[in-house]
Amino acid sequence: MRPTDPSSALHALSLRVQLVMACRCLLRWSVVWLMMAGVVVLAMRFKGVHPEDWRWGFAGAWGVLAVAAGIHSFRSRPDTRKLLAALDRQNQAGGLIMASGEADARSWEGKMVSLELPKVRWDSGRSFAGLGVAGAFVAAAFLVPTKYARLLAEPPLEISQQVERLREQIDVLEKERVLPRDDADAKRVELDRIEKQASGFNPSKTWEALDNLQRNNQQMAQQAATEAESKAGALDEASMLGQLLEMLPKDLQNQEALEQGMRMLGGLMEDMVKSGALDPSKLPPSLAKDVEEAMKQIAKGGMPDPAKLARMMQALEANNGQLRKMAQELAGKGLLPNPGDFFGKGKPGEGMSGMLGKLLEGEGGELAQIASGLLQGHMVGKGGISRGPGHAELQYVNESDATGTEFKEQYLGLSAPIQDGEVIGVTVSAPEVTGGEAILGKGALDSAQAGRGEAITAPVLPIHRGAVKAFFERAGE
Amino acid sequence: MDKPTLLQPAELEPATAIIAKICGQMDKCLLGRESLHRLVVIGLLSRGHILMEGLPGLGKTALARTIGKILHLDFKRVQFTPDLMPGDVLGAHILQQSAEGQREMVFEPGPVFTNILLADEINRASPKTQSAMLETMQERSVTLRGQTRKLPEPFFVIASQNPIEMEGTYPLPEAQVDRFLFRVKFDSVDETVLQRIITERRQGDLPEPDWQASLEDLAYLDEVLGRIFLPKPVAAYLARLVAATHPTHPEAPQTVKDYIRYGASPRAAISMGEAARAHALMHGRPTVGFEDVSAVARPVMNHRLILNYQARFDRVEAEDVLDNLLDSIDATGLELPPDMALLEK
Repeated sequence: MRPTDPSSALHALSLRVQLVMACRCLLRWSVVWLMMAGVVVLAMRFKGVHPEDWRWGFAGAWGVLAVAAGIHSFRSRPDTRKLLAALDRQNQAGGLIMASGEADARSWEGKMVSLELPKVRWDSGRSFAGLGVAGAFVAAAFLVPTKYARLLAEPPLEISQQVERLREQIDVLEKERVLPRDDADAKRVELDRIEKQASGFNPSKTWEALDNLQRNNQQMAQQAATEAESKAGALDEASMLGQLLEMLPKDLQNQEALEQGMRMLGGLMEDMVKSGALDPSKLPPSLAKDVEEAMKQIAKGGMPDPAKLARMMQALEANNGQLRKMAQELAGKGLLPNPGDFFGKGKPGEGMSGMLGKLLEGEGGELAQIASGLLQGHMVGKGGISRGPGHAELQYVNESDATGTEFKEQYLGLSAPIQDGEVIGVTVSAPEVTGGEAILGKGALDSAQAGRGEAITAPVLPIHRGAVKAFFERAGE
Repeated sequence: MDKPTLLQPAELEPATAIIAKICGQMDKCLLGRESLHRLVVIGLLSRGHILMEGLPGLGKTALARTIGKILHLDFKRVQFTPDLMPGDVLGAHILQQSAEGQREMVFEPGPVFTNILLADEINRASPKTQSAMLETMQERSVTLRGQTRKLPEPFFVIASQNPIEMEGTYPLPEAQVDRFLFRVKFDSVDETVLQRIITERRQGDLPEPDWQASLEDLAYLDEVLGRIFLPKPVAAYLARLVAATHPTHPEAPQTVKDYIRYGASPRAAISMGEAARAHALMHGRPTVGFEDVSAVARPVMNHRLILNYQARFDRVEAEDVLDNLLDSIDATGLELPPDMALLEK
């Protein structure tokens, strides 16, 4: 139904224009909003967030958008006079409709019976195309599997092997009592955190953390191994001293030296118990009892019962074996980078030789041979370049006779250092070359004529200057 | 502030009837060119001068003579020639001796002292004589020897000019061209009209009009024309249209930027407003609409646009530029988003 007066026609036209403007605005804003929503959805899927009530949020946001579009179109609605002009033009009113807004045109209302509203054209193709694209983008964002999205967002870092290895190391350290339980648990928590935060975007951070943990474990293991080695050395020493005392003949005349040896052995045993190198609680009860009694006898300065002394030696060996086993365990988990540096590099004879020498000062012959044999026997099959009890002392025996041997004399030339040389003078020209053309064609003398000073001007290329400088600045020359 | 009241239909209808009679008499006396007759009537109603351009023998003089007869106004014709002097048009002081024997300079009015002056072949006169017409056309007065004399009311100049390409012509200066309300082009009539002229007009004699407007009629027309309402959107359209003829104006279309050196003057806007009022009155409307402006825009502005050399090279006429201008300027000035528009008839 057509309006019959300009004011109602104007109102209807204004509403029509505003409606189309609001739709247009809403559509365009929706495109932008959908694209942003698509980005947000993508981000949420990358992060693995699944909001439960996203539909309500979606609808609510779009509602707000619609209201804003309505307000915006209302505010930007065309001027009333211009709309009247459009209405006038549409109805070919010759200015009557326009004039109705400015002048009293009641006498001409009969000419404006039925007013036709102009149609509002909106080329919405591009906007709808944009909406379609934006909608497809949002749909695609929803369809992206979270698993792959997360893979894209946070590329995983494969560190399971390293983590497992570190976990085993911590277990070993805890088991060998190198690491207290609380510290071990703290390390495990730290390891779990590193594993969880491992990201392919920043692998160096993870690797650095793992390396730090590994380094820390190795330091602790090395410290423990060093201590174990030290204890093992003491155990060796005590063991050898015990064996020596055990093997001594019963009629040994130097009883004072024997008692001194016993006191040393007793002191060593007490030190080992205190330091933990010898732990009687870890020994079988009967063995522990025998060791305890032997130690008491030694402390009194007496010679323990041979059977008990043998049992004590057995205990020392057992403890020594445990320490070595611990070191092997640590090395097996990669905690000791160079396992050969421990338990083999030491020289058990060194610590004892002085003591034994002091012990054996007043006795020779048979006892010296026993001690020497003991030391030699200790080294059999256990030496090497970088491990073992140490090098045996070189003994020069059966020297060959050099009588009548002659050597041909050979002149070796001047071997005095250059700094001891004497400066005789400095030539203004190049030294005369006497080596022939073959020498002239080499190095700085290349293509230089002898006696013309050309050798001086021969350039040293920049790339060679470093080498030349280094040659003349050699250390120790 | 009270709203103005539009003309009542009862006030407007007599005026429209008078105009219809004038146009009817013109159509009767001058065969063919009905739209041209209405344009001339619009010009006269607007108190504007009309420049007619066309080849000799197309009826320019006949039209001027006929309109003079119909309006019952004094009519004079001056044939402009290269030796025509300003005094020949405006009048001159002549030494005369009175009966008492005293001699004095007496002003002898020229042919310009009339209601309708037909300046035939105005571009054949020298620039000096052409310039003598400036005051008469704009001020409707003549000043000689320090004395200004008003010309009779109403005063119209209907000038004819031959195409500028013809020999022995001087182009009218822009200042004078600007004083003409319309420039209308006379083209040959079609064969049917020509046949009627041959059969009905022996020796080319024009029939006498059987009705003549009185001075009261003209005064009434003038009064009614003054009350034709010009709505603000139409005034804005007029202003934008004239402003857009300047190549530096942001709303100027590309053809204006390409081919126009100087656009229309404010006098063009005033003239167009007056002509649009007359057009609305002729069509029995108390208000000016966009169609009135469109109807008079071409004859009002086609001689006011100064084309550049590029237009000459491209053989572009002022009418072509105006057509493009009228197409590109939205009359309503409605500012809608680029992808929105109102579909009008």
